[in-house]
Parts: sequence; structure tokens; C-alpha cells
Amino acid sequence: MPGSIACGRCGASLRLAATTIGIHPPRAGALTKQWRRWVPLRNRYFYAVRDLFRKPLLDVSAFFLRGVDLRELSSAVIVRMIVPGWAQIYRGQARRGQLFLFPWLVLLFLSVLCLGSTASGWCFGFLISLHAMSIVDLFARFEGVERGRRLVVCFLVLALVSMPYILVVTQSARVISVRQFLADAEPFSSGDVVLYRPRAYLNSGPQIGDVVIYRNRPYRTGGVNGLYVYDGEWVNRIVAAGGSHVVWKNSQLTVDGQPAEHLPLNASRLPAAMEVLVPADCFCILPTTIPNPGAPLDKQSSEALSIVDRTSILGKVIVRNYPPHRWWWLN
Amino acid sequence: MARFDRLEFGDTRDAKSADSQSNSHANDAAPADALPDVSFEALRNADLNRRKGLYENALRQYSRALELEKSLIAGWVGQLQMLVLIEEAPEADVWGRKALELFPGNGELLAARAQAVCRVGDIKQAHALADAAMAAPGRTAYRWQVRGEVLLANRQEMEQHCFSKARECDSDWLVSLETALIYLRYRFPAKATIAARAATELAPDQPYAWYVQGLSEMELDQSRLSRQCFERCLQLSPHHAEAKKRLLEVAKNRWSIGRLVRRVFRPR
Repeated sequence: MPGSIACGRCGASLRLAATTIGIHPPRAGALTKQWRRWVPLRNRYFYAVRDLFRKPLLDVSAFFLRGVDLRELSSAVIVRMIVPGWAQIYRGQARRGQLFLFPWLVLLFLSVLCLGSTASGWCFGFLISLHAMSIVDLFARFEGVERGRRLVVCFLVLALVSMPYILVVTQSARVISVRQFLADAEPFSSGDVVLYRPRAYLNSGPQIGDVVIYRNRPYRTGGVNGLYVYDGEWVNRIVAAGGSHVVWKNSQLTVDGQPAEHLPLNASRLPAAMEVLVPADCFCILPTTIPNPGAPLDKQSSEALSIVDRTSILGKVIVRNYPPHRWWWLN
Repeated sequence: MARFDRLEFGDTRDAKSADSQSNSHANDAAPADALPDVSFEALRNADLNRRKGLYENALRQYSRALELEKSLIAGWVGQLQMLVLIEEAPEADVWGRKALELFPGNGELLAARAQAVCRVGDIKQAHALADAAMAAPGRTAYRWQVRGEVLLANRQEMEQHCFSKARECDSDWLVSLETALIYLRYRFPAKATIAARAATELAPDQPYAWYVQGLSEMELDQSRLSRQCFERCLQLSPHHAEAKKRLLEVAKNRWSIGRLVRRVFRPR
């Protein structure tokens, strides 16, 4: 019939001549074909497994999502659940979406800003709760579904959404680690948090001038009030490499007779004079940030604690990020 | 009245004028009656290339035919077949879906998509599509061939019946040859040899038929026979690079552990 867009007999499109149709098929590149030959991800076994699990999965989802208009729960909505409020904005509830999105962004910023502190933990907890609330809110909009089923679906989706969080936390821990100071050690105070890169020295060795986190060899010394043991992780600057001769005299630090380019973080705590010959494969890190419970470190203790071997250096410190008002880039 | 303008009353003059009107509407630049000739010429070239085993060139010619006439189902089907033959089945699947949107329920396109899906590995869907193709009106060799391929991929015994039905529908040597290629694809060299021999019997002057027979014989470790086939192929087409390469391979034929393993685990 005139005006029809398809053939009444076979259904073929009658608009072909007038419409713009691409007639060049998609092509696979040589690399793609090679890849498919070597790694046949989609082969008959893949489809056999898919067919095996398809029906049970469909049955389960049909049971839980009975009554849900699946057009509303499209893949576009599910993907957008990854950011709280995004799915609501996508579904046209912009105001509601913003109510979730903006607090979530603020909490995310605060938790990153104070990373490693208790405050960051609180922020992160609130952040996850807010995310859960946004998902529950989304499902609460699906009318006609029993409350129990709605809850189960919420938990299932929440479990899916929590995957990126777990991934981010586990992966970021490999890149950036956190240390919190438990005692005052000028210029750091109890409660300060520093971030450091544990993998900074995987490919190259530590450099003179780097502020690093290191663990000293346990050192015992007898004081007036008893026996002191210096053992722990400290943060300070490398002042000299192995084989150097380091001298601190008249408030001047020299390395191999030349004035040192880099001073330790709290040079005022050094004894009046000291001298260190750094063995090979070791670094000189002067112990000016080690807390001293009794008397100040004497010359002998300072010299002994200044030598740190390569394996004792745990990573390169980036920043003191907590508390925010004491923010300090250390490298 | 405008609504009865396109009714057919057997008046050829009116029909022709209507046709030329629609064609000129489709492509104002090209002369109305010259357009189908050029597209059929492209289809003919595509077929010639296909018979030589030049599938990339054939694909280009099918696309050229469609550039001129988008409603040529043979062009769409040819594109899909070529994509499958050059090992681009996932792309053929995507393209087949698109073609079926334009020509829903077309038996040839359904068969072509079934073949693509089968090569990708989704046998279940391939079965459904092949069944739909068989249920569509008309019977062609290609549909039987695809049905046979799906059965073969699923290791069912009835594939020979389908391939013989395909030969009954169309006695062209290309049917036997492409059957041989299907058998080779699924590593059934003995059956491939039989189909390739049928092709060379029907068209002994076609170098590509001899080449495919040579491949089948080679898979069966029949060095002497495969060498003869490649030599015949080179007699007919002296610049056949693939045949030269295979001939060298046959000449260097030595004992190899890979071939031994293949022979042990050969399906039939």
C-alpha cells in the first residue's frame, strides 16, 4: 500500500533507496584476527557455559524482580549506580540525585584528604552508607514489588557496587601506604599521618635528599634512668650515600669535606659534634626525628643510629596529609 | 487517485515508467536504466573473484554492487559469506544482524547469519537461525549448506544429507568446493577430499578447485596427490602464490610431532 515502509509479503524495507545505509561491513584488523586465533575467548565452550547458566540466572532474576518494569532497570541505570545519584539524575530526578551526589563527592574529598586518619575512616563509612542509601532509594521507587524482594535485590546490587570500592582500596594500598605517628617526634606530632610510596625504589635506588620512611636496627643504650631501646619506623631525609664521610661540627654538615646540600628534617636536635663513615650499601640518615624519652641522644648513639641499610628503607614519603592545617609536601 | 498509482495491472509501459521514476528518485546522478547493469556487473565480478578464492576482492565487489543498488539481497548475502570465509565471523554476525533489520525474515540472510554465529561458536543460536532459514519460503543450496555446517559443528551425523541436498539444489562446482572448505574448517579432511574431488570433476579447468583439493590431500598426508593437485593448479594459473607456497611445504614435508598429534586426535 502507498505509504507503507515495509513489504506486506516479506517485510523488506521499502525505504532502502531513499535512506542512508552504510554498505561497508565492519572489518577486523590483522592484530584482532591474530588475537582471536591465539585467545579464542568466545568459542563453543564459552557459549555452552553461558547456556548452562543462563536459565537458572533468568529464573532467579525473574523471581526477585517480579513486578519490576525492567525497562526502568536498564543496563544504563545499573551502570550509573556506580556513582550515587547519577542513576536518579539519569531517570529525571535531578534534585534527588544531587542530594546524593554532592554530599558523596564532599565525603570522598574529605576521606582522600585525611587518608589514613580516623576522620578518613568515618568519612569513608558515611560515603558507603550514602551510596547504599542511593541504591535503596532507587529500588524503593519500583512500585509493586514486595519489600523483602526489594531488599534482597538491593543487597545484591550493593554487593556488586561495592566491588569497585574494594578494588580501589586494595589497588591504592599497593601504590600509596599510610603511617600514623603515635608519639611526638619533632617536626611530627602524635596523630600526624604521612603518605608514602612503598614501590618508589623498585626500579631505582634512594637518592640523597629524599625524605624516606625507614626502620632502624634496634639499638640499646644505658641512660641515667635505665635502659632505652630505639626501635621503630621513622621519617627523615637521606643526607649521604654509602662510602661517604659525614661530619657535623659547628652547626655545619659536611659530606666528604664539602658542605652538604641537604640537611635532616630537624637539625637542631643533633649533638654538638659527630662523625659517621657510611658503609657501602648503606645510607646516612641522621636520627633527628627519633623521640627521646629521657636525655637527648649522645654522640655515640647518634652515630650508631645514623647508618641505615638499603633494605631498611620502606618507601619515599610524599606528604603529611593529616591534620589538614599541618599539610606539608615532604618531597 | 494517488493511493492506486502503484497497483499492477499488467501494463508494462506504466510499470516501466513507475520503475524509472523510483530509480531516478533513488539516484538522480545515475541514468535510471544503467544502474542495475553496473551493479550486476559488480556482482558478476564478485562471483568471479569468489571462484578464484580471492575473497577480499569479492567482498569489495559485493560492496560496490550495494553502493549502486542497496536492495540487492545477493550483495548483502555475499558480503556475509565473504566475511565468514576470511575468518571475520564476529563482524559477519554484526553485519548480518543489520542486514536482517533491513530484510527481516529473509532466508538467505538468516542462513548467512547462522553460519557466522556458528563460526563464532554459538551453536544453539546457529541452530535456531538455520531452522528459521529453512522455514523461510524457497530452497537454496546455501541454506542446506549452512544447515549441514551447523550439524557438523555440533558433531551430528546428518550433515552429509544436507550437503547432498545442497548439491541437488545447485549443481555448480562452487557448492562442492565450499562444502570442502567447510569440512576443512572443522578438520574433516577425508570428507573434504571427497567434496573437493567432486568440484574438480565438475570444473577441471578451475585452479582454485585444484588448490582446495590439494589442501585436503595435504591434510590427509597424501603428499604425492597433494603435490599433483598444486601442480595442476599452477598449470592453470602459473602465478598462484598460495599454491606455490603449499607446493614448497609439500616438498619439504618431513616428520613432525605436530602432524603426528593431529593425526592421532583427528575426529574421523
